[in-house]
Amino acid sequence: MINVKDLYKSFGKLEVLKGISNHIDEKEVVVVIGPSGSGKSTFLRCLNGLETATSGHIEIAGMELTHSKTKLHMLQQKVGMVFQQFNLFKHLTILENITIGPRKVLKRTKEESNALARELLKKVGLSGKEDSYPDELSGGQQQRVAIARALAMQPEVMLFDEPTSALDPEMVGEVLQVMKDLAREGMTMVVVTHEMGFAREVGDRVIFMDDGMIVEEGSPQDIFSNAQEERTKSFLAKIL
Amino acid sequence: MDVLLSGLKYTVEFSIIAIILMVIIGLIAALMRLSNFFLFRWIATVYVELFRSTPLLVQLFFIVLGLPAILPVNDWFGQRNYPVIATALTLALNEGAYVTEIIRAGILGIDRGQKEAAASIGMTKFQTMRYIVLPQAFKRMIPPMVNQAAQTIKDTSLLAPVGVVELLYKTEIVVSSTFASFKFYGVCAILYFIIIFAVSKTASYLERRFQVDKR
Repeated sequence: MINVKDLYKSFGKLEVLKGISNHIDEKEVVVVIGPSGSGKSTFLRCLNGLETATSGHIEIAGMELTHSKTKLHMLQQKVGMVFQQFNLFKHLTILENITIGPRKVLKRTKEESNALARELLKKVGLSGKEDSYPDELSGGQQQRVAIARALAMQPEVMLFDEPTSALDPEMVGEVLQVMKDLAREGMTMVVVTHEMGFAREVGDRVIFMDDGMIVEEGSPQDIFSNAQEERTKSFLAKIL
Repeated sequence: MDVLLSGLKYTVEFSIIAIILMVIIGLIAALMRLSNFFLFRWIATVYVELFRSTPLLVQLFFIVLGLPAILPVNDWFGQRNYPVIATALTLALNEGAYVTEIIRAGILGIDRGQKEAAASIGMTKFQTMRYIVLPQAFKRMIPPMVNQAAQTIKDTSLLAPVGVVELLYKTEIVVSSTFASFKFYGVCAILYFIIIFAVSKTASYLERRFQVDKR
């Protein structure tokens, strides 16, 4: 599903990604962990073209990402993204937030898009909020709408960039629950998070990144209970 | 009094044309200034700086009275039409330079996350501008835009010195034949006040409507 080879990314003189190679299978749930500044968010943003890699190759769902800009929009349609700060469209209602992608990008009819949006809202437990504006919802609710918005494009992969980091603690659970449901349905997911419970429970594979490189990867069991690398151990010791 | 009102008609017409044109010009120039293509950026920047850094009255004299001295513009547009077209256009270009900066600031004020979210659902740059950025920027631009529209209406009075008929021009005609300068210049000022006051009241009403509907 996703193939990354020798991915390098620099911001000016700062080298953030120093050669990342990885393969992610269809229906796999990969959790990326690591200290802040380790490049995990940048890695995720490279996967849907929000950041342009300095060098290397990324192939997603059979499409090569790195060089051609023309196909970028096509690829972004197939890759859903959920942001730390939700980034809902503030001037649109909840329903419009979800339907604008299908309607304007996929050129679906209004009726079709609305039906899809209602179905997705039900799925994330927010039926009845169709006509609210993002500012009227709690953070957890906004993030669930953001997930529905991404799903409305019927993506083949979902990327989550610290989806619960900006939430009050009592709202983390509701968002993680939606993500767990999604994983069970067989969605391919790449999740950058500090929620180790989620990684343990839902992750098929955990990648530990530090200093722009993948230090260690393996099953949650391997990483959390039997880490081989010193850096992994010291990171886990700090946060667990 | 009828003479003044006939002048007012021209002022209103000029204002409407100039305001419509200045918004169109401002939007194009603002998008050019934000473009990735350096030539567009360069042209728009030169335009803005040129028109902001010279007085409107000088621009009017230069384009309306200066250009015909070297170009046969009067033949192209007609002796009577050229000053009218040229003043309307100069006015729109001048005010458009300020509008460019208003729109540019409005667009830049939109959180980067909004654009990233739009990109993440596969929107093109154009779609992002059209459906996500501009609608949000537009709301923030209303107050400075209204200011600029009021400024434009007032600036139409600068058409009088270059010989284009509008409210102030008519007022001067009336004053020179009646010598009632206090009365008619006073009426002239009140007429300007009425139009601009009406515009800004309508605008603040619209602004409140927008805020109630869309937080």
